[in-house]
Amino acid sequence: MAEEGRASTAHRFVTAGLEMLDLETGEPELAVIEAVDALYGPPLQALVEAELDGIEPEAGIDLSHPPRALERR
Amino acid sequence: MTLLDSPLREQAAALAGGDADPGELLDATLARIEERNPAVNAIVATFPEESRRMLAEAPRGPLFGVPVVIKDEWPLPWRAEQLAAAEHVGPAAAAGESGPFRALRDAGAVIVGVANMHEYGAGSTGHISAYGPARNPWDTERCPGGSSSGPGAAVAARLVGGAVGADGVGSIRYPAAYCGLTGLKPTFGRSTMLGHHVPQTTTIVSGPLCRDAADCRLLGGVLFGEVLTRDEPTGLRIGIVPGELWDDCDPEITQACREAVEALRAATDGTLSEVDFEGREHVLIASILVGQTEELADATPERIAALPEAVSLIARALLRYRLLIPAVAMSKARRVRTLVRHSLAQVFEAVDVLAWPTVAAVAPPLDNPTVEIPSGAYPADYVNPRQGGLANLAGVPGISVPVGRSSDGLPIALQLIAPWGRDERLLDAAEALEDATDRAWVEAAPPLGLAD
Repeated sequence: MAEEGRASTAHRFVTAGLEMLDLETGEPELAVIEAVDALYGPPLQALVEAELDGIEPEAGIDLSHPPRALERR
Repeated sequence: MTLLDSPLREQAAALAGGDADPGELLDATLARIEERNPAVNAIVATFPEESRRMLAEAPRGPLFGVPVVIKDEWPLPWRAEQLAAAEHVGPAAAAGESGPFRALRDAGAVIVGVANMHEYGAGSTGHISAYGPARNPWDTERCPGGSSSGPGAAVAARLVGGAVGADGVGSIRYPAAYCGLTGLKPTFGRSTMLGHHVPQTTTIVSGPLCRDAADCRLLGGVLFGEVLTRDEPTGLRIGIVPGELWDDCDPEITQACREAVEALRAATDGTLSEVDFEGREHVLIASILVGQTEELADATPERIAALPEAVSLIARALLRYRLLIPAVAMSKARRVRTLVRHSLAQVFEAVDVLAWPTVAAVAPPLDNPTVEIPSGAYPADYVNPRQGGLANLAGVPGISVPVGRSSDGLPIALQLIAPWGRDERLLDAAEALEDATDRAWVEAAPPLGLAD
């Protein structure tokens, strides 16, 4: 998506999403949100698009220890 | 030089041996805070009566009579945590005995102050705080790091010998790096988290910020509730991960850290090898998503809308933005966590520690917290989690060790990561590195003409 196109889409997404939540947002907040989204949006998009289908989150994860055997579907 | 300028363990030894009077040390600490704190804004509250009561009731533990400070993320019996924010997003906090408070009390330590932090713990720079930002003692126009900004500034300015912080996406390690200190992010769950405002966290841990590894071992042991034994690391297998963790850093940092890694290898008669782990490209976003959304259950639109303008614009904006994160991203972040953990477990069969710079650039200015790295200019908050987030995502321990100074005179730091439960290995390696560099970087103190 071209940068300008992405920014415009992000603006519509953010304003519509906040409106759906009935969360009033001033122009200064909106400007910060869009600046943040310009940075984090691409890695967020890459994460959403990542091929991780074969990996299931650990059941009963214990972060103090290594994981149990990897379960791949 | 006074006992205040001595490392934590030397203060403890002097008090235990009767060579120093704990009441006098407490008075001297409070006087030094009054003298130096205005320039660094590291400490946001002192409570001499409560401190004296702690001393009067202090048991003869490993930190008997030793003054320490604690991050404004932890409740105390006489003070609820404020998170350096004008208002809590969730339910109002209550005073109480947090785990770190109990651990310090039972060790005989004396809490002399509450330390500043980055508002809501939501930043790696420390440049936003309802109390005004803490300032880096190495250059008071620079960020001290965050979110444990006050602990870092307090120890670096020699207000105290040790401080307790919290690390959810690097928040002990970044101030350690920026302020020339040693900061340990423990294995998840190994240090006390009782009383934390995000009890359901899977990323945040309490941990020590001190001048060197031996002090971190002492204070860390108090937080763990166990003595952390020391061993001589020999044949240390050091893993170097190729790519941006090394290459996309300020060249001075890359150079200093490469020299430090070689010094560590030589000192331990060890080896260097190139290793990699799966999911690396997603660690930055996954660690932020997991670490910064766990407390969002309290962040209803109504509560966010009601936040006053005294809460920073960035916080009000970020809280809104986080409500819009698609659920699929959170689901994917959890899968990245699984992938990274499994991959790391395999990597740690071949190496004992991983090494890369704690931060990609030295402390940025407070009024413009952006950093210049080979890939471009970015907010430090964007770049730092790339370096630090892995340990929180995976649950493994990490330590930041000072290894040099930039041409601007600012601290440079190396991060070491170890397998789950191998916190002692990190401390051993850090001590070996300190000795290999003649303790030049842990003994260095900022120029402390801090009073105007």
